[in-house]
Amino acid sequence: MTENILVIGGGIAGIQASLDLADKGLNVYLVEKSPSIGGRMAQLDKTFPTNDCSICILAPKMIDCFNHPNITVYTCSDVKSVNGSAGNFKVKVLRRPRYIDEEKCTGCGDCIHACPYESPDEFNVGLGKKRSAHLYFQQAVPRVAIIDEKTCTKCGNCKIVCEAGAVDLDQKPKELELEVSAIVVATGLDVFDPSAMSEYGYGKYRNVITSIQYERLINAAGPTGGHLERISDKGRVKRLAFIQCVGSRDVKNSPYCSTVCCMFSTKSATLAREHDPDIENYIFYTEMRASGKRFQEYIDRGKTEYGIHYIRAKPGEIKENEKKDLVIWYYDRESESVKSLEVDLVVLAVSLLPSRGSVDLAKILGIDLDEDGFFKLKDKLYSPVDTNVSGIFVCGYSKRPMDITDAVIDASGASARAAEFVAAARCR
Amino acid sequence: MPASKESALAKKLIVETRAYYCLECGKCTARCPISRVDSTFSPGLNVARALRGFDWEIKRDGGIWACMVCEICSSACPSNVDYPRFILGLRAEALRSGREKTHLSELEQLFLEGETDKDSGIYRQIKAVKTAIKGQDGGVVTSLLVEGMKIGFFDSAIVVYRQNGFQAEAVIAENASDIAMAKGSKYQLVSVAEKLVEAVKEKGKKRIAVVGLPCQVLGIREIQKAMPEVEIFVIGLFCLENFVYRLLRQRVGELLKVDMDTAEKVNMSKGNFIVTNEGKQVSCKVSELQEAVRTGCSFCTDFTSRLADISVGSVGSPDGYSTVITRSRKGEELFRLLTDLKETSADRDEIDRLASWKERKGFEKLKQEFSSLLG
Repeated sequence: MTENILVIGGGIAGIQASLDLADKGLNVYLVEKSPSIGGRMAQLDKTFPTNDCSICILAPKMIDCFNHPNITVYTCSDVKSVNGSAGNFKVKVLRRPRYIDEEKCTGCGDCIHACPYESPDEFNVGLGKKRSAHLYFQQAVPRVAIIDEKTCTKCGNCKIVCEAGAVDLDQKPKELELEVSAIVVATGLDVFDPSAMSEYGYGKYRNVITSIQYERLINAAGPTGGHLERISDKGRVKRLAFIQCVGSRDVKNSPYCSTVCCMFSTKSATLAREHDPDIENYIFYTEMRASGKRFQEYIDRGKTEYGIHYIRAKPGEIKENEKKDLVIWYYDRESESVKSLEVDLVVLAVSLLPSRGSVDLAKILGIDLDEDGFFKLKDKLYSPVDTNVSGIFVCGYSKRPMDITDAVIDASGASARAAEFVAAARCR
Repeated sequence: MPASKESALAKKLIVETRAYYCLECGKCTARCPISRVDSTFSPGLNVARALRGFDWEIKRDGGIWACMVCEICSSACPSNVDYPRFILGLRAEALRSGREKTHLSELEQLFLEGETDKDSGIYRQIKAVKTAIKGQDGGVVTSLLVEGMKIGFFDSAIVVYRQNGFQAEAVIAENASDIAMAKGSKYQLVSVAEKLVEAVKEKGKKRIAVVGLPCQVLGIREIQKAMPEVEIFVIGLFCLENFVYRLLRQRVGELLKVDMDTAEKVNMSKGNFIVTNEGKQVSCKVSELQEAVRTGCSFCTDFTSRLADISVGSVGSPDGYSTVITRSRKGEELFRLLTDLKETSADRDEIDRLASWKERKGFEKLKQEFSSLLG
């Protein structure tokens, strides 16, 4: 039995689990599919209920994790197969090519300036552009560039300017085999695409965006430098509307409640007001769910200090006028009639789904998924981080909707269980 | 609280239609074209009142008769509550107590004027005509709209265009060429009522024509009651039943091995469904397409669009001709604009036969469907 543990997913839950295990003296392999660890939290501007700057509290953990002597981070990597059993898993990991040598790259950014090709930026959820040679985001860990093979024309400019000689346009995928005693799954969430809900006009009307897009808009490191502007004409946003439960609590999409949206929309509205004291915020909700510590007070402050208009209604449809303003049609309970509200920008608080790769990963690991696609627990009460496979544990949003605080707690729980395996073996 | 017959039935319907799961979010009402103009009508409120167990009298008969069974509400509902079914159940009860005729005759009194035929409704003239335009049959609807707009009876018309393939969409036509593009029957339900409301509330139209099926004509008259300042010319079509396009296309593909998206023309005649594709005609029996028929159609009792200003259809006319029934002064004036017509007499027996058959079938099916609940 080895003292190695595999953590799949480098978001806040995966990072926390890795740190806990490494601090106990165990070896951790952290496998992350994107070019940097950090996950969703790195995309956020501020976190509720404290309104802390998200990357400011996350980055120290990202650095600790990457630099920890007991943690080996593999980015741009996927778990391909798992054989064996608890105490003795043999895992095959595929490392996709960055076309940059991680050992040599200094993160200087010369290749980025030299690259002539722009394409939509995945991290900025389509709101900004990136060069083919780029850093996944400003605070990426490891601070190594990556070349997007889909848009790279192999012009070679990057290779010419790179003083470290780190560009390797012929880099090939690499396969690794790891031996681990236990596995912690922390693959996080993906965001529902509301294009199919044509009544809301996402994809048709430029000034209708999703919650994750809003985070990038209001973020100082985002594509507009944190200026809240309309997508269609970069005009000022004076009237901002949030629509809750787009896809959530919906039997035709995600029947469950995504848990964090009522809080983050309130947060987003307060941030908008802090940017511009003249902005009017409207939140169209079904219920305002605020079950955490000091959460209800946060919502109440939204009303009293930030003047948010909370409207209990799920809009029927959104239409666009000639000025590209949005007109929201909803049922107004007070007047018992259907009314319309004109706004400059609409943010859809879309349903948050278990990570898209969960289906394949579940097959690879042999663990079950529940009817909503989340990883299934062995028993909700007695073993709330165990899966049906001994030695494989799950934490964070991939298990059930939860916020950052709960994901951190959950990660510590899962890593403690994983560490027990090694401890038990030591005691024999 | 004494429980009325309605509230007792409503409680049973609540279980059947999943109304317990209503979140009271109001999305159904915000989507409903009738609710948009008439604040006393709301799919969700009907259910909410019943859920609260109020001794529930139907305050306005419009409450259950105004629904076009277009199913926009239930398809929007996040809890998948079947609001149309709820209303249909209450209609079945109203049928049993003989209240169905009152509401329709109220609307007839309000909008129409002429003699009464017990099967095809109020009429002034019934003729079979052919215009110079080659349309679905006699090109009558297209001609009426073009001439009406030319002379200024209305400045816009709600018509239906083919969009992707045969799939159709309602549009606001504002000139003759816009109208000409809408020729031909579409055999699917498209929400013209929604477009009408948009034209009035958002685009400020004050004189508008609209072409609809019998169920839509009913909804349009309800909307008209709530917007009396708008001048609306209603052209109704004859209709036996209508389809959900997605299901129809699938079934036609299975039976006739042809893709409706590429069809040049589709028509129904004597129980046959005929598709013309690449100059060739293939057909099947309409009865073979049952699974593609819309829910509301099974319970509909109106074949000739009894509430329209003018009704137009192919039944009762020879090939290439259309039957026209004018039912109001407005309808008559509009019809008189058509010169250069070939005319012959319409087969009123055939029309009445189908009209009475559809009415009987609709009422029977409604009673049958809810017989276990009505007890």
